Amino acid sequence: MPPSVAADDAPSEQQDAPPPPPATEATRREPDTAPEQDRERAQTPKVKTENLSFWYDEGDTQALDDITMAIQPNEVTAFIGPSGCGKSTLLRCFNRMNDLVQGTQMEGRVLVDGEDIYQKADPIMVRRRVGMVFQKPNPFPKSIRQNILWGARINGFTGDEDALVERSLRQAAIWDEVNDRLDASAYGLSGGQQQRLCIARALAVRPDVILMDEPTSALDPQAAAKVEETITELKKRYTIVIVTHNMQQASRISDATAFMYLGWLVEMSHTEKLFTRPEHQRTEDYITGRFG
Amino acid sequence: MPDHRPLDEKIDELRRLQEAMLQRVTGQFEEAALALLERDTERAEKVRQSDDEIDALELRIDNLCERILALHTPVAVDLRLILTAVKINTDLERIGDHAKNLAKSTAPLADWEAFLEQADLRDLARTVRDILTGACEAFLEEDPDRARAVIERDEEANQLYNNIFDTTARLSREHPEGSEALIYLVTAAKALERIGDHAKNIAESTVFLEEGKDIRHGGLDEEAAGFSGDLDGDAIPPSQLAGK
Repeated sequence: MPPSVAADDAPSEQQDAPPPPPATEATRREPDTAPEQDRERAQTPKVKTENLSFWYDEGDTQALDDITMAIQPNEVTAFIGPSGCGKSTLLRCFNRMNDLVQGTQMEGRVLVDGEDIYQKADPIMVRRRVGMVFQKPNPFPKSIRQNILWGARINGFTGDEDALVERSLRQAAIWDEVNDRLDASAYGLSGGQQQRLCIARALAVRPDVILMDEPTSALDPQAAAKVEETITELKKRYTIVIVTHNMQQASRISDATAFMYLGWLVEMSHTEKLFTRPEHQRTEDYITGRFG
Repeated sequence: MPDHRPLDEKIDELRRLQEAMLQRVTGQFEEAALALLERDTERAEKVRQSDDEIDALELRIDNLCERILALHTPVAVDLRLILTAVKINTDLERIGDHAKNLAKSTAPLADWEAFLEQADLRDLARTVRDILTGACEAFLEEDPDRARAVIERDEEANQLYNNIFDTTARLSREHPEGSEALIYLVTAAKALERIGDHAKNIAESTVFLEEGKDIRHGGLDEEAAGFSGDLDGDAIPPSQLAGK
């Protein structure tokens, strides 16, 4: 069972198939107008892309086209858009997960804290700073404690392991539910608990940014609500980027929302604005369900 | 029976109900104003009896909006449509009530034609009719420019009402024997002025629906409402943020 955390040597990385290509050249059309990003923010962006383009299939299939955007620190940023629009591909560019997919090409830059993560940075270090939680909860077939400690130990952690376990589980809002059975198998947890354990495991390696690819789509509404509460709490310490098909979830928990279509960033703005007064007709059509 | 129709079908039904409500209410206003100005007590009585249909439409529209909100969780233009539908519905129902008040003033003023002429109630009624008709047409035709033009005319109605109030005060001193009729006169003028206010609300709602801008009370503080960025410190130039 692969882990959900993109830790330096997490075994899941090779097993994560790339998302389906978003569009062929033949189906591509120019957006009605240029993409918007109307937010002028006080802080330096945590993650920034500059003219980022990405291809699968040795350059035959373009997935991202000239994306320039800024992710603000200590915010939840949601990526929405129809299947194949490139949102998962973009997310995976943020911690070089796409390096693991054969036949991909990239142009442009991805900066984390101003540093181009594709130039000098070691991809393993990048993934330690930029963790990832996947759609399906994927704990290791080990105890709850071992799930938390696994990545940290590999990264050379020599501190107080009990404290690390408690801190990670508390931050993921699952400590109260599991503190009396830390040595029990993680497989005994419910789906929602497993997903929060995976979040805790991501936190244990002390990332700055957490990427979440549809983290609640496999959960029931109650478990999803718990994870959403956790995300809202986590943004005080971390920068979170979430891909979701659930637009109500995006509007509930995100501070900024980016709408993508056919590899383009059509519009990115404050979530309240995007869901009440979108600038682009295509955004409005998508969020009101009249897309297509 | 659960209503599983798609959102667009429900919105079409909502627009049909709103159109019917607008027609009933404007029709009731026209009849009430005509009855008052022509001192036609029979026509006025019909207006007083014809409120049930408007009340029924008000309930249907509110109920449909409630179901759409609960079952479809609308956003963007759909959300604005439902929000404005509920608000306009209330405005229209209140206009219907004020039209009834006009009708109630008809009989007490029937023998005081000179008061109606001196107070120039006809001019106020004509102005309010133009505002109401303009607001309703702006809404139905989805025309925010026309709505804005209507809003500007509300002040004209307010001024005419103030003039009537002053005239009524003078007439009450000159004709104490007509004091009861003069109370009905100022009540009717107030009803007309309030109808103008509700019509202005409809026009403001139309601008909100079409443009997403709340122009009431000088407009919304967009920064406070979270529609613009935090501009403290070093803002990132938009040129750096914008894509191609």
